[in-house]
Amino acid sequence: MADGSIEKRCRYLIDKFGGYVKAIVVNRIGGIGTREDVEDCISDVFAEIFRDPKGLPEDDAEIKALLGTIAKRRAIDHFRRLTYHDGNTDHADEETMVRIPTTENTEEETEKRAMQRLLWDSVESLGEPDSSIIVYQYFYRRKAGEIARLLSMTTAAVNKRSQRARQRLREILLKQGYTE
Amino acid sequence: MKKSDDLFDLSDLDDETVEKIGGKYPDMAADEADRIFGRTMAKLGGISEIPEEIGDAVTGTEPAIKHSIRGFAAMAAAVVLVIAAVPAMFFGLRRTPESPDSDTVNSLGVPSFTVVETTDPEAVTEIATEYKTEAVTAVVREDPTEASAQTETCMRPVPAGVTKPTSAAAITPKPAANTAKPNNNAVPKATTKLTTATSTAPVTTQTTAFTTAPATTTAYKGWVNDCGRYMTIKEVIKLNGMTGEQVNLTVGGCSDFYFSTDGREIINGENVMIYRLPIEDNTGSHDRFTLDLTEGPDYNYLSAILHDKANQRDYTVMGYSDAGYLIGDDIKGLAYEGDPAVMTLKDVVFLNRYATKGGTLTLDSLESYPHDYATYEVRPNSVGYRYPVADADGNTLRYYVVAEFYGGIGRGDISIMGLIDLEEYEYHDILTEDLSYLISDEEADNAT
Repeated sequence: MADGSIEKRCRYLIDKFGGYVKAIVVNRIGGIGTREDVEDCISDVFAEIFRDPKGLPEDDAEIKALLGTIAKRRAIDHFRRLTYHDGNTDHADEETMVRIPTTENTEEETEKRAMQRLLWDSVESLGEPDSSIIVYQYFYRRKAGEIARLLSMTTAAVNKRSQRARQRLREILLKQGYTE
Repeated sequence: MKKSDDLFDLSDLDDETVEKIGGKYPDMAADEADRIFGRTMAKLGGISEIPEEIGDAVTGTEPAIKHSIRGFAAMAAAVVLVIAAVPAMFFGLRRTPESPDSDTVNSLGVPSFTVVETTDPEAVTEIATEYKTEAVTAVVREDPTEASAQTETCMRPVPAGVTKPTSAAAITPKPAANTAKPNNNAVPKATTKLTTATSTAPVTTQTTAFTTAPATTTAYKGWVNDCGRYMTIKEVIKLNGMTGEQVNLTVGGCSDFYFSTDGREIINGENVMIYRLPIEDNTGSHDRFTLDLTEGPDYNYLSAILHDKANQRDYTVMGYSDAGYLIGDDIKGLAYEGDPAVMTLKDVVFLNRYATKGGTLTLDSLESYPHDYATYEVRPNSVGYRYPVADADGNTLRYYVVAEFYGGIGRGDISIMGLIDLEEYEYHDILTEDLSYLISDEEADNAT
């Protein structure tokens, strides 16, 4: 049973690294799971790290690295569980298994990563609050109303800014050779 | 070649990008962190919530008692039924003749004891007693004392310091107390007040401001700039009840010609210009101002974002000028919460109650303004206007509703403006439609 010090430490870690863990979890299961699934997975991560509280590193950087590793694993577990329940199980499970390095896959993967890098750089270049809007909308999958509350804006303004930001992103990608 | 439709698929990103997102755009609200903490502690086997006490006699033992009573009752009922079944069967067998004579069986085939042919009263009594005694004995087998004793033996040991139940009433499960916590976040009834700052400007130019508190948000709204002079940061800060230490000003949406776009700390009391209202030139050029959404064909808007450090919220103050600016008698503006948050329809209705009903508009004064202009008499049937605001494609996005208060005490007119966002509210023509239901009677009384 967790004693007071563990509770405090757990709370501290959630407050400090919860966003980081959530980003990892959302990256894996955000598109297929509910918000409860995401929270469940995040709590799995923190619960796991406290299974052996004496083995917890003292240094925050080490804890962060440990959390990152656990988060990826737990996210994959949840991904499998969710896709299984959804009847979407892909036996090849390309999301979770080491892929066979065929030429085609490597090329696709390389292109995908390059595009993601370009996209991310473009998102960051939008400036605030547009960058935040795109991230919350398309990474965290927040609704416009939620984003509006987060950023102290109106829903209409969020929608409008999102629309314009996407247009700018589209133009950037078109210049880089991506087609509609 | 990838299609740009994939552009917004921000999933399965590489680790480096995810780490950046987690660091730069964390998405962990306090309530979400609370839920995750609760789940985590539950998974660790911890107690996330301390059970609240129910009643004052038997605390914490209700579940055990309930369980014991139910278990015992079920067992006792089973025992009674079994015991009752034995003599009943015997009784039934005794009542059933091996070869019932038609004379001793009634129409239902049940032996009728009334057919015993005897006239001896003692014999009749003996027969009746023979059967009835067994039945009664079988039913009344256990007494309440025994049952009570068994109940106690079935109960979980009562913790020290806890009163033992001494009666059936005491062990009767009490209805669960309402453990729902009071909602401390209940939204207080909307309070609305209007705030005005008067200016030392000429008679025809006055400054009006209002603060309106929506039911669910903190209010930091409102000013109408005067004509021919700047509204200072100091004034806006004061108007919003903030001190310099609480405010970090970022000027946004304004031309570099007038302002630095860099955010800067405002020193308490510093008299710094937020911005000046754009001067509409006769050519219709608006190229000096580039603020999104708020640039209309006949007027320009400027905004400054006030960051409230204490509450970690941004508030945007805005102003606009229309053609009236050129003649120096019609400058309107307001501040919005958020960027660019809109005034609610309720706020607009409230303001327009003044315009249509008349009354006295009492406004807080600012130290920098003469106090004698803090109260305005609003004549009934003052005029309200609405102005469409269009986007670059000419689509109407919003309507600004302006209530103009004529007949200030020896002064010029006051204009207060509200904004209705068509994307959030279905537009109501407040000039012709009764929307008084949007404000409470108390507010309406105050308004009129």
